[in-house]
Amino acid sequence: MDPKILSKIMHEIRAPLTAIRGYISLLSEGSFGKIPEESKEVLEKLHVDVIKTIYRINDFSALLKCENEHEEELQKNESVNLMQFMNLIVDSYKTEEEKAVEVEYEISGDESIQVKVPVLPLKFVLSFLLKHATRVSKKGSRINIQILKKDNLCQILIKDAAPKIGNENIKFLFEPFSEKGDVEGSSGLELFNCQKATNYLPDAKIGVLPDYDHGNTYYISLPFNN
Amino acid sequence: MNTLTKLLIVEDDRELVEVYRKVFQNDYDIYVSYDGEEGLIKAANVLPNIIILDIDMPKLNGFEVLKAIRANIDPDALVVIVSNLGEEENIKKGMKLGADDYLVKANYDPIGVFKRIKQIYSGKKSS
Repeated sequence: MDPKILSKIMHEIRAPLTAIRGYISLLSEGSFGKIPEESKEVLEKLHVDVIKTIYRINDFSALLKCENEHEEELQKNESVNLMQFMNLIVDSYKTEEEKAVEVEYEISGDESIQVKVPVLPLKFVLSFLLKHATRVSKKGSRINIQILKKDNLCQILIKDAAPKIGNENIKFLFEPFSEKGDVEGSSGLELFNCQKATNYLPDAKIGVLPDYDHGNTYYISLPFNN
Repeated sequence: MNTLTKLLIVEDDRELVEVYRKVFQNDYDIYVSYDGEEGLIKAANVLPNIIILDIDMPKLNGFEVLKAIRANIDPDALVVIVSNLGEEENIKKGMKLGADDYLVKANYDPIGVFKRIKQIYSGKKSS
């Protein structure tokens, strides 16, 4: 199907959800009168489901857009300072999703790391790792981002504040809508999108570090080619 | 005499307008337009303090409306774009044309939009 038509369909599905989300919030806040506690619980579930559906539409639209980019755009190499690049991604994400202003971001590591990479896919991968970490973390929690140099690789680590995923489920995390890899708050597509875009980054690897006490640390490693 | 801050909503989704109306009605004097052209005319007649502006609308899109508002009507009114067009190029374009903020509609609860506008407007008034 023509991607423009698909994009229009996505827009038409998403638009009424915005109003539905608004009405649910108003009902929950008592703008239409007092509601019983049990109804509040139902409304909260509806709210979560509507947001999840909006995230799914957005994430699928983003993937479509990325896959329909011209090949030369996807392969266009640029020299990038990873620390500055990550800061820009965090800043722009803060205006994109309400959840992003409800958590804290701490970025640390080597400020000097510069890599030459296809910049569009890298931006896509980092944005979706960040989205995933943010959406699955509770309000007020902190997301740690580290930029490191290790042997001849640079690594970007993003640690969320979500309940730990069992090691046995890690392999399912990058599958779309995987039941075993399902994490509360996730659209079920963020990590799938990351993996798809990683294919455009030569010799890049993406994964999860299994052995932290709490939270989950996702990484992308890139060859250090400065 | 009505002393409430004047808020103009330029948005073609009528359901969403009703949600905004409910959220903003106690704190603002609300005016509504359902397309860009009508929005521009109403902005000129009402001279609102705050404008909530959609982008993808019939007749004139939000970018065209914003450009005309900044050039011919009011360079200082608080204009917050609330749109489903979340691509970076659209956000940059909106901010470059003089929007005070750009919120991606589907990702912001209307109550979140209300809080954000209140925050920016009080900052703008005190500066």
